Amino acid sequence: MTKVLNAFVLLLVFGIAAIPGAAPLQAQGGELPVVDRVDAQPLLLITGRLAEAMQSLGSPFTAEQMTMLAALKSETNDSEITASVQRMLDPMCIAAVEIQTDGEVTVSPAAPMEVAENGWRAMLVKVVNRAGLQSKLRVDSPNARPIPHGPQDDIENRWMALSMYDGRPLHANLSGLELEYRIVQISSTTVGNRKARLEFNAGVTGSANSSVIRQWRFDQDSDGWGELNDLKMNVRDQSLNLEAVGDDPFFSAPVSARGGRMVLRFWGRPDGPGVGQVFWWTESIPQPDGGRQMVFQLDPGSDREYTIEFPVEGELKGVRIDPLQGPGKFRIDWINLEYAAGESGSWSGTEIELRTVPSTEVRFAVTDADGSPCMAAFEIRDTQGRVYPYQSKRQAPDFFFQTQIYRETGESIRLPQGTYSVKCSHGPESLVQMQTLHVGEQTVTLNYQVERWIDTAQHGYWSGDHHIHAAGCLHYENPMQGVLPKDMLRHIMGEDVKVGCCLTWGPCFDFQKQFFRGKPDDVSRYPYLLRYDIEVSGFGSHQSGHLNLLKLRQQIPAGGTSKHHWPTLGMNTLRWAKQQGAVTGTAHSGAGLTRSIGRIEGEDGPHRLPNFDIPAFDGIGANEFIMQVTHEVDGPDGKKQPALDFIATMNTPRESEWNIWYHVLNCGTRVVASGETDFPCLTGERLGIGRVYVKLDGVLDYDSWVEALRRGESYVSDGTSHLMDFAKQQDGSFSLTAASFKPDGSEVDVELIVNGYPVAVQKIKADGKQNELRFESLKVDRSSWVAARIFPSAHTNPIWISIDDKPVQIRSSAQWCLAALEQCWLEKQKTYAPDEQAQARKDYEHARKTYQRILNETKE
Amino acid sequence: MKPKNKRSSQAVVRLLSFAAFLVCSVLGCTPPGSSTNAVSLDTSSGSLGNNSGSSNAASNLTEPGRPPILITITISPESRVKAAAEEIPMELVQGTWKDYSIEIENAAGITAPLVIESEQLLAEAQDSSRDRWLQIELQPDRPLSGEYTEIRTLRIKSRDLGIRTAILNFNAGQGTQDLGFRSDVLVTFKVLEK
Repeated sequence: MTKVLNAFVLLLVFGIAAIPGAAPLQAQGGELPVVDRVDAQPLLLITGRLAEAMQSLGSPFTAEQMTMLAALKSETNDSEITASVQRMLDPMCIAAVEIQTDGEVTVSPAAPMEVAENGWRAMLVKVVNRAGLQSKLRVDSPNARPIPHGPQDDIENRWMALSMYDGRPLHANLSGLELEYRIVQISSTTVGNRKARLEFNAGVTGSANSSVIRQWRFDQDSDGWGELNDLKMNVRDQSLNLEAVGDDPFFSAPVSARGGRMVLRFWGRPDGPGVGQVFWWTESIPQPDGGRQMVFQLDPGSDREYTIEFPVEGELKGVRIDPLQGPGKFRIDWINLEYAAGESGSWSGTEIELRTVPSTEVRFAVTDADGSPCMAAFEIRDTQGRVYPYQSKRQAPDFFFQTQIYRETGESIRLPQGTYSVKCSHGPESLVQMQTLHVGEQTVTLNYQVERWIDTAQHGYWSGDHHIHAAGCLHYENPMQGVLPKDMLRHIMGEDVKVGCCLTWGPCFDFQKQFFRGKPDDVSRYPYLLRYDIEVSGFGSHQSGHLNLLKLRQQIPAGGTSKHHWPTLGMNTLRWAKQQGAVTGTAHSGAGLTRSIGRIEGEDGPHRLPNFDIPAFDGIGANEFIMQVTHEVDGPDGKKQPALDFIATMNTPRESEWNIWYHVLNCGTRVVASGETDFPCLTGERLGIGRVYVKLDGVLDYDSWVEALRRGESYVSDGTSHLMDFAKQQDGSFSLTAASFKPDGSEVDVELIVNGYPVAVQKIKADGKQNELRFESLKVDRSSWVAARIFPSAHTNPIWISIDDKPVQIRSSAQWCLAALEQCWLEKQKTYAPDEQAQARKDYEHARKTYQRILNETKE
Repeated sequence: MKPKNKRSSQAVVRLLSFAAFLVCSVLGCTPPGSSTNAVSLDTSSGSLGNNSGSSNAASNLTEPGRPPILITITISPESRVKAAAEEIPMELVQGTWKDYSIEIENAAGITAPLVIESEQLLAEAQDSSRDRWLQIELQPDRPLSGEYTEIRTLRIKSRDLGIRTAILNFNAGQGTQDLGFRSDVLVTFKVLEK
């Protein structure tokens, strides 16, 4: 098997037939150091992780390489596995770093590599770690130094940008294994063949061969930075947040180190343009002065690493940063002080060769199915499967965690010359198109006309996603300012979500709250409406279940201007929201409902809907919901109305979210279902994965849409199935227009649901065609609710059937709700503030009595 | 692409829910795993009870002699579970338990069990698979308290000698793993001879 495998590997990497056991490790270029044997277990796991990292960067291993990696798992000889991995990965390397047992580093060049003009590319660095270091591998290059304020005679040499990729899923440090591969990202500004010097350091902080002088981290405090002038500084969420309040803001830190060329690096984001300065002082001249300063250019509104190199003569004693030239803000996540390459004995380098291929403008021409201009999603890959634009260096409006970008007519990007496959789409109502794009020397246009398998707006159904975010979760790991309304609009247009409810929440709350208008944002472009409202989440409150608050007139309750004074009892928030006429609902409803603590007697239905397991109520989904749905509170006109309007669905397990919905419907509450994604928290793939389709007569406007949502004139869907115009006819039958689309066109079941259980089913083909369905008249002997569903992708809101003017009351569901309420109280009581405990007890007691009354009024 | 972790009774370390048994003893429902499938719920009497309270595991933060922190867990307000490995020397002695600490920052205040999954966990005592070499125990064995900060002890044992690597994935219930690989950590141990 091993010889066959070797031949296979060589065949795929070099495209040549290989002689087993006699093949060279390098097809061309320099000879890289070879490792004879390492333990296969860590090597294969780390290499698998490397493959995942390359995939997440949009530079995936080929299918053949993945097949080979999988095959190696059944190989038993560690030496053969070690050799095979090197044969596969060495050709993807730009250099090899060898760390000797004494920590000395040597670097070898590999074969010349190709990069795209002004585009990034991921390459590998082979690390032969004979010292077993578990330190960080750093890279530097004189060709990657910043141009602003650089020496005039060196500007031409500064044509490259580079950085190691140490982010997830990789571990930031070397594993200590004798053989592994790391990722370096390289970009070039200059077309043609160029040479560059790459220098590496693998020193451990504080060790003799370390290049690191001091690392400042802000987990707890400012870590030694102080001596402020014209500057307010606070540490929040592991970042140093600076606010300049005068014209000469600066802060400083003491640090001791022998002299030499040093590099101050920090990662941060200023909110305005201009320049910053770095000063330093020494033992002999113990104060900063104008003769020892370096200037750096600010990149407003962007997160990036700043690198400032400076020479220190004598013993360094301190550094000062003047981050801004006047009032403004600057967030800094970390600061490092290191010796520059060459100053520390552990730096070592080599000359590599890069071939920069020119890029060409690609213009977009995008139209909807009716010929009107529209925004669409484009996933662009080259023949090796690499994604463009390069993912990890993207900035808004393009998101690094997505493979696609969104563009419309008149916009363009640049691509290296070559051939690409482009996946084009415009939300789930469109048919995905694959195009081949050839990019040569001349500007080329990518034409995409959307093909739809359905257009629900033509039926009066306007799609919406009531839960998307412009900050937090995948947007950024540390709290930054998030993205802007125009960025969010681009995404809702691209995914054909007609109404996007962008909810400001904990992360970046004090920045994002400025976009609240009490009406759709001005960036909205009909029929695409973007409105900012609130999700009560990340406020330190509402551990009993988050709330989505739509159509607010005021976004913050009295008593504060931010997020830390909110009630802890969700009901109290609902009272405040309802007084101003808000439309209210849960968020990510299944959270806290997936784990069962037991069950009561009852007959589980198909898909375990309904089921009689009692959830643990240990999360932040529709938990307090079980109490809230029994309440009415004052509306803006003083009249009573339900405290909670909708349950969020379509983004957590249906078994959980639909089950609790069914049970409370069976207790006569008329809460409706809405659809959400919670982008980019539950997923960053795209927004609009969970949707609500709301029926409106005439023109779409936000207030009409959200009020119709509240009334339940809608269905929820993942966009692949549709249940339109579900209605009870005069003869007692039920009719609807059902459509579904799956690439294989297979059949799906359209079920008619009565009080949670299916009573009839009709099959339709998921071929995109619309089917007019009619279910025969039902014989119901008690008040009931009736709905239609296509599990798990769509569900209508219920139609209520009243018998003898009695409410819907199903005893088994009342039992379930009562048990669920007790469990919720048990779990959530401790989350309520002392001054809300009495109200909480009263509110739960009301719910308890409500469910108990149903039990008393119903018979087995 | 997220790694698909096998989940078996041996391959999942899970904090059992004492609260589940507590509430079931109050309500008369059937805890999971019980041989009885269903019992009637007696809801005719009693008022809403007080929570018996949670353990204040955060007090462990100040305990002397606490094992070094190997992993920090952050549970976001949206109950996404994120894990990060600390940069500490990671050495084990073959076949011998070693204790590390896990620090948990629970911004969501959730009270679900913390679950660790790994494809490197030994599925059974006689498992000879090269990639399954790890045994772990999480202590104390109970759901999260809901407190903002908790410390748990992670006990680790290796079957094998040499350098061994594992991916540990953390969640606090279905769908709570954070996105972008942030719910799992890659840890590499040097396993020394006994």
